[in-house]
Amino acid sequence: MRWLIITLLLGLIACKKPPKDSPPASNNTSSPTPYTLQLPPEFPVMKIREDNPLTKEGVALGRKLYYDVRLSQGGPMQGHACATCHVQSFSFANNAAGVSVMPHVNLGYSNAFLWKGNVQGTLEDVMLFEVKDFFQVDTAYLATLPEYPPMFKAAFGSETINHKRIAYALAQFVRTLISGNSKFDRYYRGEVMLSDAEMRGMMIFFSERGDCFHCHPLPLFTDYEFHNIGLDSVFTGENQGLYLITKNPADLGKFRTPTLRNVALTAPYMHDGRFATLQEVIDHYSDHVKASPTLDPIMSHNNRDINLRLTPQEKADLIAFLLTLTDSTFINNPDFGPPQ
Amino acid sequence: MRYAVIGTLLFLWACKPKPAEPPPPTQVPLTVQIRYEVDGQPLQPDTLLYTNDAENRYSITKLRYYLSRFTLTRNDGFQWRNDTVIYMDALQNPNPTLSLGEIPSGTYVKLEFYIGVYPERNKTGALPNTVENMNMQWPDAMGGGYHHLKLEGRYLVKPDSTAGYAMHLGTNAALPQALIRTSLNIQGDAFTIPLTMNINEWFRNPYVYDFNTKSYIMGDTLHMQQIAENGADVFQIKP
Ligand code: HEC
Ligand code: HEC
Repeated sequence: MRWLIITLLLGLIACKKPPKDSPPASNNTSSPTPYTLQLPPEFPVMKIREDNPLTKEGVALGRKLYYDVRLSQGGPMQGHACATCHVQSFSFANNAAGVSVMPHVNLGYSNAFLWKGNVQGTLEDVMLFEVKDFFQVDTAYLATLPEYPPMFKAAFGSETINHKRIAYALAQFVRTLISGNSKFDRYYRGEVMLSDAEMRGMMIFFSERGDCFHCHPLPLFTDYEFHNIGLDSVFTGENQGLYLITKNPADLGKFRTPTLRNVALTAPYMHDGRFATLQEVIDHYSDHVKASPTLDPIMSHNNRDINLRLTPQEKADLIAFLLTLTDSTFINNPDFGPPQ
Repeated sequence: MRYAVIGTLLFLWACKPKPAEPPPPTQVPLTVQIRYEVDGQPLQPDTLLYTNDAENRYSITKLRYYLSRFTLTRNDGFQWRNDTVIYMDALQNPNPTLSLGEIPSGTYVKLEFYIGVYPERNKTGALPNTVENMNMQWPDAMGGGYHHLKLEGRYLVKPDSTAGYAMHLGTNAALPQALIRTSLNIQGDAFTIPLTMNINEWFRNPYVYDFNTKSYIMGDTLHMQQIAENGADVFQIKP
């Protein structure tokens, strides 16, 4: 009988899967609370880096940093917070002239950042660039502010403040900036109707007539890739775009496609803000596209005619459609505004 | 000691799901290895290196497509099929290996697959919601589903100037279907089918395609169908 028991025990040991090793219980620090991203049903799954899961504490810290001018204390951007230029009511861009501020909308899907693609990787990577190179954040100074060390502890387990943690917290907050409740979205979900002009504009946008969808596809209205859309035929200075980063002549004049979500709020347009209105943008695609060896092949719509040659009616319809991409719940969401 | 024997039997029984069973037919893990060429020249992005049968000198700036529904027919008539849809980006990943699961051993005489999304899955939203698939959507306004193929680049129109071309295929009416008659003796621990796409085959047989005729074909059923038909033999088994 003893043999039976022993053998059975052996059998049990042999057959039982090893228990899942549970992490050592951290008794002294309570771990941060997971944050579930609310995505509209038609949105792609968002890949999130394993070393930076979304947590309530991380998002709250990122939001506080985003709105805090002290982040730039002593650095080249002294006096600025991220939110000084990335303003919620402008879809986290602004209306200033010069290099267009890029909006922070659904950015967690991108893996190439800035107009010229200076940073490739994840949101964490571009945030590290912003924190370390652009703001040159003084971490020792932040550590002297009473509210920060406990917030870093709550988000990351200890009071240590470094560039990486600041970048990770900012990445968490910006990842939550999801816009997917525009009039167009509600139409897409079958909740509202579009006007006749908006419908006609939508058909131009999503057909070979306007061919906008190839680079501004559903549901994000950007492919997050780089294209030359014929703004110039000769490229100098900043207008060389992606080429300045890659030094590949095939990249001359290419820029990261911006999302068209909330585009009504993000004038002036294009990387250098050269167009003041959507009318000027549409006029460009219709009548002023310039040929060059790197012009995107998609722009050769009608057998080598690189211009769409839209009628005034078609232009007005296209603009009417673009205006349906404004998401007022996004720009008024109190969770995205300055923390109390 | 008798108990020990019983115990051991119990032990064996507990551990093994099904004790005595005839050996299953050999299942062979099957992979497909993809390569690219243009009439023997290697695939290189962005350079006007290639010439097609219509004498267009051209470059390739984008080659993205799907492969789906690999089907193999054995010499005894048995058909094996795999319904996954695989996204391909030739410039991003020029030599991928695709795992297609396990196939019963035997001599297979026909290999078929779609270069694109097979009809039942070619509906908006039918593929997993990823950014790659979103970027391949074929707008509902034009029939819905996905682009089967995006082949883009530039070609010389005059000695010193180029224009773009965009060979986009979509809708079930323009879905390229590859059919390769062969003799593959599939057995052993694993089996790999080496497939090479010769990009120039998109522009010949049965139709010699000239970019000057139509450089942008999306929505133009006639030209999309010509390219789709040309696509039947773009892939060949090539060790
Ligand atoms: C002085 C104005 C200004 C401030 C302050 C500012 N930004 Fe920006 N931001 C810009 C401009 C302009 C661009 C586009 C620059 C470019 O591409 O060359 C940009 C682009 C970005 C991008 C790239 C977005 C994309 O779609 O690729 C990110 C991310 C970003 N900023 C994050 C931040 C963060 C985080 C802060 C705070 C640490 C910050 N910015 C502060 C002006 C500003
Ligand atoms: C070949 C890709 C491509 C196509 C096709 C395309 N776009 Fe764009 N779009 C871009 C890129 C890239 C930019 C940014 C260019 C720059 O700043 O240099 C842009 C910028 C814009 C902007 C300015 C947004 C901003 O915030 O500055 C608008 C508006 C716009 N496109 C609308 C359209 C419309 C409408 C169509 C169809 C008529 C269209 N696009 C077709 C790639 C494309």
